[in-house]
Amino acid sequence: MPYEWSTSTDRNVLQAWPYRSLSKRDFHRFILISCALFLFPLLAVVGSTVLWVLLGFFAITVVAIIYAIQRSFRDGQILETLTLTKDVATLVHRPKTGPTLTWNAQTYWVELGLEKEAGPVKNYITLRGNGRTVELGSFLSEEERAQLYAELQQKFSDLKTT
Amino acid sequence: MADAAAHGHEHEDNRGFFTRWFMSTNHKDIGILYLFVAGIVGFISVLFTVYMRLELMNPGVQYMCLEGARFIADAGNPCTPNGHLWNVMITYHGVLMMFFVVIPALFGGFGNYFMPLQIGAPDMAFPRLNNLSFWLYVTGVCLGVASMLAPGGNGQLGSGVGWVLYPPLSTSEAGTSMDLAIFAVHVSGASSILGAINIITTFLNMRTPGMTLFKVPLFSWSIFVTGWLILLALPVLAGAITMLLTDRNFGTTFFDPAGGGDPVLYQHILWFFGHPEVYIIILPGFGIISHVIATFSKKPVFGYAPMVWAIIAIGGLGFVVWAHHMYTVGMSLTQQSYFMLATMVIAVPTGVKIFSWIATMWGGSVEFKTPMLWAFGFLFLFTVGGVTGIVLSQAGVDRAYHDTYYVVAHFHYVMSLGAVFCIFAGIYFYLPKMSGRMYPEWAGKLHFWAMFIGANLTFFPQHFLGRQGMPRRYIDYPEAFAYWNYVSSWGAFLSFASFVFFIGVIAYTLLAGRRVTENNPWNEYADTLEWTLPSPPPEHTFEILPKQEDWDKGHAH
Repeated sequence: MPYEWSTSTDRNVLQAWPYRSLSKRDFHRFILISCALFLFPLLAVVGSTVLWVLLGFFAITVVAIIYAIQRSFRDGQILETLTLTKDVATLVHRPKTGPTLTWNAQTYWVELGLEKEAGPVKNYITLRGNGRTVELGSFLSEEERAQLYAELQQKFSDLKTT
Repeated sequence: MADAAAHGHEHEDNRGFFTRWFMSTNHKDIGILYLFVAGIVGFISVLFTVYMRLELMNPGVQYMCLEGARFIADAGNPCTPNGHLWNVMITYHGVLMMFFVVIPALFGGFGNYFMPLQIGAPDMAFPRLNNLSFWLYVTGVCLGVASMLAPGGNGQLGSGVGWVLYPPLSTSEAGTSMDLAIFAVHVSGASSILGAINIITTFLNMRTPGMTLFKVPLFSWSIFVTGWLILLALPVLAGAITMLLTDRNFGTTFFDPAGGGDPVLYQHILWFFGHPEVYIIILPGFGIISHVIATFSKKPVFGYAPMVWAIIAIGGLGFVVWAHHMYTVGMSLTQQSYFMLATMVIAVPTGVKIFSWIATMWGGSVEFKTPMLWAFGFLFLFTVGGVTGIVLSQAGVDRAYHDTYYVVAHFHYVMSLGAVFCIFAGIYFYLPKMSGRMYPEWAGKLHFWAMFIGANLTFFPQHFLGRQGMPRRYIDYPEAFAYWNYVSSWGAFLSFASFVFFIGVIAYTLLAGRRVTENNPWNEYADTLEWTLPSPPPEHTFEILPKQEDWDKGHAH
């Protein structure tokens, strides 16, 4: 689930990030197997200068695939952190490039919104407060947003009533 | 964070023609571009074969004359055989088919279009890199054609060294043609490697939530394994031909015994690339065939997990059998025994696939629509090609068959009748999805039967010729081989006629075919994600990742 809550007595922190299907462990496995397979053709040319030429080409390829997959991980490194305390709600959006964006408002006055159909994505979650309306978790899946919305409603109502 | 957008953005496709097709970063558009360019290059490459079969139709040389190439035999005028022209024909037929037709069509075309759709990804991981891969491929095609028309050996145009570019032939061929050919292969290799990196990253990192590796549809699996093979094998080829280039131009002696090099070493590394290349060509076809057979048998594919492991095993074994292409270069008995046994082992995972396809059809409600006909044809003919492969894998038997027409018949059965039948099965299967129009069923069937009869008539007699001892790569042959050569040539003309008819079918379908309004024109056993989209799919797909119940039917795909 690409979002999680960490709750302590005085604050609730939500972190959300886009889904990626490859684990770091499988990434390392993939690179290791590739490198092992690269050794086969080299067996045939051990003891000749041809070995070094092939080795050069392999090196380029391995570097390229490692770079590409890491780049793909990095493209998914959007992290949204919503911190809720009794007084202030703060949303920090850290994109892969560019400056970090922040928004904050008094928790009591925040209006939580859900656009079921009309938004850019289904179940579009918005937070209104401090004169601005901001989106939350637009990269999550539809059901995740629905579930997150319910959880947010609960948190806000808890915070507003205590 | 983005401020909230009040309204949804519009899904309007307002790109102009030039922007859409020349600057495309959309995986579906690039897939279609690949298919079209591969089709055009395929047509050129097929034209060469028609000319070659024309020449081989009768003993003696009637068309490829030093006095000028002819299209109509003229016994009144003298004709000196032009061996160079013949060699150029076989070389470019091989180079174009291997590098610029089959891989781009299956891997570049179908892979680009359908792999992201099947795994529920919005696009490839690197859309602009995808565009670069495609245009590098086009550049490679241009260099290849330029090479054919540039000054080469024997004071004529083009190089006649065979697609494997063996030294010392390739290092001593005069003119710039050979260098251009090497560049063409380089550029297409770079294109394939970049494409493979893109495909691998997309497959590994952009599967929709819940789609674990062993829930991925078989076609996507085959494309991933193909991408992996390309990633591992193409650098070897790039290295080999780079060394050819420096041997030719910079005085190095990697493959020249006079300077301490070894031409047999080139054969080793060429075939280290060349054998995986065979699987690079056929594996995506296996994937397409699995979906076609499941759909038209109205049953889920039999034995999903063994099918996946068979793809992986075929890919893996493909790396350790290369020297069976070169039993005659003087390897030790132990080496030959190893390569012989390893080669025969490949029949095991291939058999798993063949039997699983048959088991899929078993007890199913089999419907012989055009794609199924092609799949059926593939199944039968690929098995024939596989069986002659087992014959050729015997090092002793190979002494007799090496460089005869038996080998030509074998590899055309697995590639021309295997891979090409897969391409056609894929085209008819996915045409309604890609174009939103349905082909006329009778036309597809006529195309199939003409091609099936034509291709068999072309290549089956070549087994007889090989057994009689007719060698490959010659412009002429003794009277004794005349009968089956004549039959083979008529087969080639029939196949060519079916190809021309196919171009007509495609043109008719795209311009005036019946519109397909439903998402899935076949049946509920075409159950991968691309069939949940409209036909043709909109410009942007799966911007919202699909839900598990859209694709996970609880049984294997």
